[in-house]
Amino acid sequence: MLNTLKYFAVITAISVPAASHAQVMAPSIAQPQGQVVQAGYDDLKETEKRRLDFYAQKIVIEILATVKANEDGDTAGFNKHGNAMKSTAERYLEAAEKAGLTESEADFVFHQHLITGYEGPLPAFMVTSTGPAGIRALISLLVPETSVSETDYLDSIRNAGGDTFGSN
Amino acid sequence: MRSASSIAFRMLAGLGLAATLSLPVSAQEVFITQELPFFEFDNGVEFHVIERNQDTDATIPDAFAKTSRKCPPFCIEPMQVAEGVTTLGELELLKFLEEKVQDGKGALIDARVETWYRGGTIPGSINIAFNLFENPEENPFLSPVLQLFGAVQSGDGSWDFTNAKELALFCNGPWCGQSPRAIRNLLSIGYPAEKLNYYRGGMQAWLSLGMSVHVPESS
Repeated sequence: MLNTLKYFAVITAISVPAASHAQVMAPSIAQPQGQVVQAGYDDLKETEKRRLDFYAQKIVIEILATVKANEDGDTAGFNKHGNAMKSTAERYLEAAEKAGLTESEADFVFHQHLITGYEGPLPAFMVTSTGPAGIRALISLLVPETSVSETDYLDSIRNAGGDTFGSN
Repeated sequence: MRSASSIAFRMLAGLGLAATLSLPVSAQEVFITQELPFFEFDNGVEFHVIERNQDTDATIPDAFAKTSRKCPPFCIEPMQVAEGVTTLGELELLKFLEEKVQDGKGALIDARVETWYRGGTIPGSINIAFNLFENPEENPFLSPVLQLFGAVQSGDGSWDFTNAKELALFCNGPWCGQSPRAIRNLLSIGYPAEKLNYYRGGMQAWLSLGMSVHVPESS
């Protein structure tokens, strides 16, 4: 199931730059899994874990704030938290890359924080027609039109449970 | 996968305010300096990020907007609080965090009382209120604090500060006498002046620049 999750994350990362808004994307694209040196979260230094956890938690906080601002019709708050979410996601990916995690592993760590830190339906921009959106999708803030149920996203992550980094 | 030309991508699908969101290439617009968009450090226990408020309409919080408090006691402090003690600005404070606190060779001390500290402090600081340094010759609570800093007390009661940490102290602002008072008390018991730093701007200057504030969790 973890492999399925990784697959979805890579698909998301590849599909997004094809959009006309590609200028907002970071330039790097996920490399084929077979060519990447895999590093597990559990293998990271404590400082690297704290850095990743800090940013992952902050992304979740900003998603919650963005959704709340939307519900309240607060345009300024929506823009503020949307921007904060994007810049935090960029730093998260940079931190993950420095630590040696692949993009799909970085997504997995983020998903763990999402499961524990988020309640309620996710906004549609976090859901793709092919599965869960990865961090890079948050950075791009672009998603293809989809009819996927908002709750499917969290369910798909939960269903991938039981797999942890460093266990294979 | 659908081809790019046939897909109608939309921003923040499903959110009513989507049309109003306009994100720049870099979401960060307010840097600390031209070369430093944000500052990261890890004090061995917690990871911290210091950055400036990205809301260009933000103003200083009400609690620090007041310009005139009664003097005494809230009198303007000198730029140099004591001979040999270095006064820091914000960038020097960041350097102190990176070079001293991160490596365990220094400590950033919030010298305000706990209620102020809990309301928000500079990330990476520890709270040792100024009154813990009062009457240093008779104060039984001071010994564990000095030991925490790495000072060693000999049998005759004198202190050896050879391996003591470098400290940077701050309180609420240039009109706050708490951290200068703590520094003078530390000097009176022999803490080397070259190991003491004073962030004169304190929380007021910190907040006036929109710098990150850490709100400690309740103990």
